[in-house]
Amino acid sequence: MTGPATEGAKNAQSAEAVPPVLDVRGLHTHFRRGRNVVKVVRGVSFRVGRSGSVGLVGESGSGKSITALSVMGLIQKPGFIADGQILLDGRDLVGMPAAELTKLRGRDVAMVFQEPIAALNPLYHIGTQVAEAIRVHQDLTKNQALERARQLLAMVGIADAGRVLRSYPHQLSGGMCQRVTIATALANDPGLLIMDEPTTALDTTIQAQILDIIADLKTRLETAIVFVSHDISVVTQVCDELVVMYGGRVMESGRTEQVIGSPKHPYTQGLITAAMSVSGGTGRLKSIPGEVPDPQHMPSGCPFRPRCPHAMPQCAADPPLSDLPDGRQVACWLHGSTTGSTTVEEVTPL
Amino acid sequence: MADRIGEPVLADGTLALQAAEADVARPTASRWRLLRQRNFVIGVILLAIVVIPVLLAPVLSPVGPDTQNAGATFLAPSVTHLTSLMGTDEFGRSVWVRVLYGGRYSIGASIAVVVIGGTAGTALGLVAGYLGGTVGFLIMRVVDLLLAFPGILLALAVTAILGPSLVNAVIAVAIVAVPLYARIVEGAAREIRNLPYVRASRALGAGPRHIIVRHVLPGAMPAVIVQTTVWLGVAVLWIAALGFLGLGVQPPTPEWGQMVSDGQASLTIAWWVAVFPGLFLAVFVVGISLVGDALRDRLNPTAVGA
Repeated sequence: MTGPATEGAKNAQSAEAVPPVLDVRGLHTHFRRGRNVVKVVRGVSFRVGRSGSVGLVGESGSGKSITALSVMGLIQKPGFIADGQILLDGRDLVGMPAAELTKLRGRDVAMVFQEPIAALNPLYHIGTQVAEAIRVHQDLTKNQALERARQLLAMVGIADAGRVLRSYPHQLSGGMCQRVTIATALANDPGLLIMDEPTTALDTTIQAQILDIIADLKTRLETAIVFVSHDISVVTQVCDELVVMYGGRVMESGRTEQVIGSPKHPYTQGLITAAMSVSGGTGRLKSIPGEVPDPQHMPSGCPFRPRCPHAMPQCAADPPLSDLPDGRQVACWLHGSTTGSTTVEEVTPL
Repeated sequence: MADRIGEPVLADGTLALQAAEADVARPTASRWRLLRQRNFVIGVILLAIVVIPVLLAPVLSPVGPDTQNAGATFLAPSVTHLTSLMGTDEFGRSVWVRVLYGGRYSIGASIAVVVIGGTAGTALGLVAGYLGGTVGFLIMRVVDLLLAFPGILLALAVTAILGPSLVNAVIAVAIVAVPLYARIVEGAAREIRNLPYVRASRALGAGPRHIIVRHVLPGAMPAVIVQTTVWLGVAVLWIAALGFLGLGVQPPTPEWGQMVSDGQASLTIAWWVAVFPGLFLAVFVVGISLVGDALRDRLNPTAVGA
């Protein structure tokens, strides 16, 4: 009765019953530039389950940060969400009145940004800022909020919370400030935490510490995480699932070990090969030839076509994001429905 | 793959230790830094020289500011009597006493101008700069319109409509100050609203009012303070100008600017009637601007504790 098959079926069933924390469907985010419209995000879909962790990976300009900001409702003019749905706990954020979105931010979904020191107001003590973030959503006195702030800082591994609370941002290191912003984002127990390149501005050892903290928080809290990064090796340390983005589209998505172990999309393969060559020993660093396309002059069909080693005439048509038998999705004519017979040789490290 | 960055998986204790050793400096050291600035100290001393006697006017005055003495007109300054410390004017009134009482009107009026005009202008600038868009555009075009008007003409028009009195003169000068405040605050607000910490605050659920009050206004304060110190001085002169034209303070009420212009007539025979109120005016303005400069430097966030 308790065989692995029934276990899996049960999981699938419960996953069906509990809606995901975040369900992005066909998101299009565009920016007006003069008379033109620049399509930065072009039909991105992904889900984040309860307590799940999803990494959005891709080079600069792939649209991952704009996707994250869209979810936060922080796209400002001249940007706008042209189409799609962003379901947070089943409620669509697209078209939600600004006042309602404001109430939701910080309480149901919070965000951590790339520049930790700049993300804190230089004029106020850390304690004031953390306490304010708490008091925006919770009816606490100043002292209660400060006490809660102390607990939050302790949670992200700050031993001397009292002193940090009394400091100004410029008196702290970047790593310390990033701990503070993570603690602040978690202040109101949001169901979803979005981190946009949270470790990119930090040096490698501090980066490792912050990643450890995030991994630790993941096991202790029920908060789901969307982790945005250009660095696939960082994302794999934190996330259970990966969404590989390129040219405003999802190229491949699936469980981390699947995507890393046997990447299907040539772009994912390129990213992993490049990351491998950074970590692995000697020789020339590998890179993907060519450049990220300018969103104003996006090639027709598959956006990766001009750089792809396997490009073929068919790629001029848009490859759909199709499901593979193992549960992941790939948008490439080499895989999926019609031309499933052709296979790409698996990428080999080194 | 994963071992590139996640080298040592630190236990919680180690993590905490490393976090603690990050440089947490003492925040108190810079608090008294202001006093070590020479200009600030000089400014405060100059202001004290002017403001303290003005505040103590009733105590330091042996006679009233309007007390005339037909037998003692145009007495030269002498240290023998407090009444004639700065001499007397054409009606035998004590210049010393009138300077002290005049300071109450001059400084009081200029503070009122700055409070009224500064508050209104700052509020407009904050709203226009933070919201931007159509609202901001409309506010700023009205501001431009006011700026395009010569200030003195605007003030004259306002006092002509409201009638001549000190209160109306204050209102008129405040209206002149509004667009100047609005313009600089709008610029600062537009810059601040795009800073990472404002974006972060928005991402944490802060509404527009919270962001304006807690982030944009404090960020714009250095500019406001500098503008205020300029206007505290300028307003004294403007109030005086309106008084000179008969649209401000009405005689015999003493007021520095008006005393200077009254004393002009007798400058060749009794220099002290115009010079002493002028001296107080000048010292006040210089003191204010020295303090203002120092405050601006102190309030500049990039300079804090640097």
